[in-house]
Amino acid sequence: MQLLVDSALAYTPPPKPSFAARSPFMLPELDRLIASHLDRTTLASAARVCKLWHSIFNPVLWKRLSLKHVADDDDRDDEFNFISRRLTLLQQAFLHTSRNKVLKGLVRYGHLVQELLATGITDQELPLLAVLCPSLRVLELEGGRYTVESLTELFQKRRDSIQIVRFKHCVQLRDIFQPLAYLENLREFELYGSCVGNTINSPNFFECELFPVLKRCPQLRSIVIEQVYIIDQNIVQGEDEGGGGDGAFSGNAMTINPPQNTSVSALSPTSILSAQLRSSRLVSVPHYATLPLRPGSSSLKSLVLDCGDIPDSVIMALLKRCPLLEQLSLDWSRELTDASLRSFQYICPNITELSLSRCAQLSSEGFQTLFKSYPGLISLDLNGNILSDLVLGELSRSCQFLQHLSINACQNVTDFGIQAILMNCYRLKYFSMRQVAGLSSLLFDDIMMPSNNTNTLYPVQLGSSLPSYLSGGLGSITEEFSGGSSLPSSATTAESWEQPSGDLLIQTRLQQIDRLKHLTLGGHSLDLRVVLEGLHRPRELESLRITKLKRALTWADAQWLIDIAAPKLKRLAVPVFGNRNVTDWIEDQRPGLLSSEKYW
Amino acid sequence: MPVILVSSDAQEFKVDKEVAERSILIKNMLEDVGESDSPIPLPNVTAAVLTKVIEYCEHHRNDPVQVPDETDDPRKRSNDIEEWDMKFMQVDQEMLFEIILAANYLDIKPLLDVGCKTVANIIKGKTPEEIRKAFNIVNDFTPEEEAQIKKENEWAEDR
Repeated sequence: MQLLVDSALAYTPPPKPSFAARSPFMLPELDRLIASHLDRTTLASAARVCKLWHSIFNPVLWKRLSLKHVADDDDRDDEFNFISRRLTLLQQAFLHTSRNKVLKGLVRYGHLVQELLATGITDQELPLLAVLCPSLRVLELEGGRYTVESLTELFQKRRDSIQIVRFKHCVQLRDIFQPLAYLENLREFELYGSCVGNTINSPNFFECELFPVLKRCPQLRSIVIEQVYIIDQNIVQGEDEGGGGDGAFSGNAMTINPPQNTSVSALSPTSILSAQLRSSRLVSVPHYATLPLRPGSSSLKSLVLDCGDIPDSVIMALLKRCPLLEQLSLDWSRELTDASLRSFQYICPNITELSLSRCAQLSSEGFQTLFKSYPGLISLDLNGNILSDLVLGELSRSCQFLQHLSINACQNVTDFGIQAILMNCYRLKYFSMRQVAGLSSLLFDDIMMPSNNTNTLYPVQLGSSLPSYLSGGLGSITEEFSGGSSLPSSATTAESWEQPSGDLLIQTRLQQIDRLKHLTLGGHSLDLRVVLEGLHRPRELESLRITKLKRALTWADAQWLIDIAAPKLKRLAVPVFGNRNVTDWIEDQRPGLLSSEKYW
Repeated sequence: MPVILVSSDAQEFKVDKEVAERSILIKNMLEDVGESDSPIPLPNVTAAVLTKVIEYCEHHRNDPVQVPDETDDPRKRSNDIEEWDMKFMQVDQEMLFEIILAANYLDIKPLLDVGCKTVANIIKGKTPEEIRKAFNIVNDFTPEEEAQIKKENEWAEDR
């Protein structure tokens, strides 16, 4: 952006003194709009321009306070000679000796603060925040050590204003759930990568800690407890922490801000909630499943829980307290069983978004029952499970409203399963199937199912004679159907579902595929031409990413792709395996097409 | 069917209905009035400004209707301006503010956005002194007052 003004053209305010006196940009709503496009640093500059600008931009700046422990360079600071009746003498003395400048600024501007993102502030400073920031709505504390006493004081004072609380990488949040229960307007709570002492590990965690919170915070809509570390004395030092499938997590242990004191030594035998509950089996705690079902006991709508070894019965007890759940994620659960899956529909009938990635105990039958009981499912993640084509077939028949499906790294899936999904789930907008073995380019060759098969949406001959192309090797495909495909009205599609007429479905499907805009494809056994022909040469294709193909892209392929198959292509990424001629030619023909790799 | 718009200095502009309806104000007016070929007076907009506004609406006549963005999160807002819009906004500051006011009055959200982003981009990355120069503003702080504010807001400047 160049400077539009030179001194000769300098802006002279329009002859509207009534506006000009109050607002730098003529109208208060315009001030707000312009301020919303400014970053923090610029807002700080703008607040220093003149008194008028200060009155407009300073409140915007302080609304989202990012509080770090900033030490004052000056040794003693006499300009902050303030007396505040809101603070006790002790607190004033503490503030005077504090070298945290921002904290001192809060005496003046604390009432403007609505969102506070605090990094590394101390436990003693929390009660001050409670007094100085009466309109606090969002509190995000990162990397600190906080005691129950301070949190209780803060939460008690601001019990009606605070709506969102996030703890990130905090240490020693012992008994965190007790103070939390004061916040009667709490809407969101997140505990991420924090150490919570023994609390969460206790057999009574759900019953004594989490359930009271659910009960006393009726507004609570979302709880996220992820990668929570616990300090567990029972574990022998040096034991394999994550074990097996948790390898992905162990890297995250590094993101914890190392505590500055003795608990360093205590940290080594800690682990993640998901991985660790195994060491102190909760199964011994009896009768969770027999807890009386209390409808309406919590209005929680979203629950994300990295389950690990939390026993089945405990998960079910938790779910029974949350009958209104709409979004549920129980990834990495080793204990979740088919039987529980079957009772989901009675406990939480409203679920539309479900994630059950890497739940090792679940079988095909369990999944099939689940899909039958949730016909309104919109989003489903089943990464890393053992799914058969039968499961996908059931899914495609039961859940016709599915918009998001992810089956990355699922075993036992072949072209048939994928075809069933592609043909029947016509609302699908996102479909990810990376690292799915057993896919081939014939998938696309066959995408138009022979119309004599009209009454069978799903190939019956499954498994009887596995097609020969499976032996061609492993393939993997990622597809993203995104785009402004205007789907046929629900009336038509519903009708076509009642009477499964293959032709109609295929038409619908092709209509959508015609508008495919982004495609990523790769696999040892995939042929570019076969795929694109199979997709009926999506003429709207704007971006294409090829990761691997059966044979390298030739000059003829490239020419065909750009001139005939996908004339609207704006971005193309191909692997370059010594075939400079082809890429050079593409670059000559359509400059910029290849150079946009960074957009991916 | 073309629509006739009349600027504050009584100049008439004939534009396509589709173009005029980029302005929600005019769109609502047309809906209220129904089929009528009487000219629409726009007493708050001068001919010079209206010419620019119509130029913008002509260029964006086929844009999809903007979905109102519910996210008020400043981190998600982008200050990217399309190339054509950027060129379009290269006018002197008086005209820039006139266009913003007109977009606000006529209720043309995308134009208002582009205008505000342009102003934000002028302010962005400047020191207070540079901002004063750019907008011809007199500093009414005493040096002590300014130093005090700088100190109070230093947290925002730290990266």
